[in-house]
Amino acid sequence: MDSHEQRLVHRFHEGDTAAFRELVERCQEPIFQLAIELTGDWDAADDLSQQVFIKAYRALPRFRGETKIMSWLYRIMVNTHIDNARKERARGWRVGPPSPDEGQPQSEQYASHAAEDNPETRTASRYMQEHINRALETLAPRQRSVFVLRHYHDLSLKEIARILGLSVGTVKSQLFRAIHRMQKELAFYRTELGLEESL
Amino acid sequence: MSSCSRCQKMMAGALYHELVSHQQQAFDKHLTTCPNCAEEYQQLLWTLNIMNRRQAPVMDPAYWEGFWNRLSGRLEPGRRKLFRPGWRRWIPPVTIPVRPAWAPVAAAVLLIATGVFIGRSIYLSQPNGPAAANRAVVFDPAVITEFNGMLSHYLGQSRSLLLGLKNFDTEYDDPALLDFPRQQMVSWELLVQGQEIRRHALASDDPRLQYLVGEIERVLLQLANSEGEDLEWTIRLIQEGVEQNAILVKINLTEQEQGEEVMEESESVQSVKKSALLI
Repeated sequence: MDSHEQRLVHRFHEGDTAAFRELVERCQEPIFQLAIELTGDWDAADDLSQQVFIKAYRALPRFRGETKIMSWLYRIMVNTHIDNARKERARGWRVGPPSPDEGQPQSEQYASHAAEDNPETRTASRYMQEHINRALETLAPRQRSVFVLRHYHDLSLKEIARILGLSVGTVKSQLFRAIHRMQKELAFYRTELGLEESL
Repeated sequence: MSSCSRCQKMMAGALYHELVSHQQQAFDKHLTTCPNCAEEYQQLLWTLNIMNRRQAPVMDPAYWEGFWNRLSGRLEPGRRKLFRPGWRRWIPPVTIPVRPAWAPVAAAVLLIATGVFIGRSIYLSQPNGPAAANRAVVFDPAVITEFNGMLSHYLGQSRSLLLGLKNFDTEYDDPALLDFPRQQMVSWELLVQGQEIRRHALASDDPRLQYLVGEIERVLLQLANSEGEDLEWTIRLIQEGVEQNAILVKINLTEQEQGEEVMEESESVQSVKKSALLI
């Protein structure tokens, strides 16, 4: 934990609740990004991020700073996400790839994705984004967590193992299977579109 | 282990440049001699390149302002609207005065006194205490033999079932080979037996067995309740549950201990028979 985080946690322990807002503002973007990567849905990501910060607020008085705040929040998020998925399964709700109409930004408050001027390129890019997101959706919650933490959040395999409470070997095999799975999902680009050379 | 399977184990580390130098050298050397692994590595690398094209969402600053406002509303319990059933609207809310400093101590003393009172009244009304009654049942040789048989069957069945699932490779094995409906039926039977064993373990004050049965139960429930629509995920959950809790090791240890107990019991029964013959 860096010294600024330490000071914030210390201030919170002393009863300064404004320190929590600073902490949220410091961590909200990567936490929201991870939520989007795990859920693939804006509303669900918003709710998941809020759940994480609510849990963190309640648990922070017991946080002793053995790990980085970010790793601690990642751990809360992954566990909450897996719990939510289990509860949804138990209730018989659908957990899986969304229908083609879903997964689009649902509100005007979200800024558009990186703009590309050519309409054709923009459309192709949008389809690719959909395919990538759908490939992520095919992964089971823990596999997906391992993949996004390694690939998009650049955590080492050891760090991921610590966050998820798994052995490094298990993390490696989960990651390997995740990439294999996505390779099958995205093989289309290689075989049909011949995008191999352009990458 | 073949060099290809060693290479597969290193693949994830290699893709993210997390191999130490001697591993990296061995990996590179294998790729130069094995076209299959080299092709697989290229394909996975290419997949990661595609995944790099994912555009992260860019959020409007107004979103973050709203985010904090909604979050702070959920953090403050005072601001939350509590659900009150219709009939409770007629009862005025009870306000509890500020708790004095000695309140926790008084509560602890009261709790201990109540515990002592309840304990004494149970023991006084039952001369040998409630545990004696349970023990009487548990130490009945016929009951023990029957229970040992049931426990041995339960552990053996659980081990076979969980081992089969643990060794199942969701990536390469055919799920049809699993005979999922039969596995579910067995898991339901084991859940019923588990209840009986847990009750017996509670009576004979065996927390370790209670705990093990609880762990097995949690894993079996995932299998029993699965509707089979996402078999792969269910199997992975079970594999993780079995691995993380070292259930198979615990089953083996319990079986070993149980075997030793049965040996001791049969020896003591034989010695009683011998002494009866001598008399």
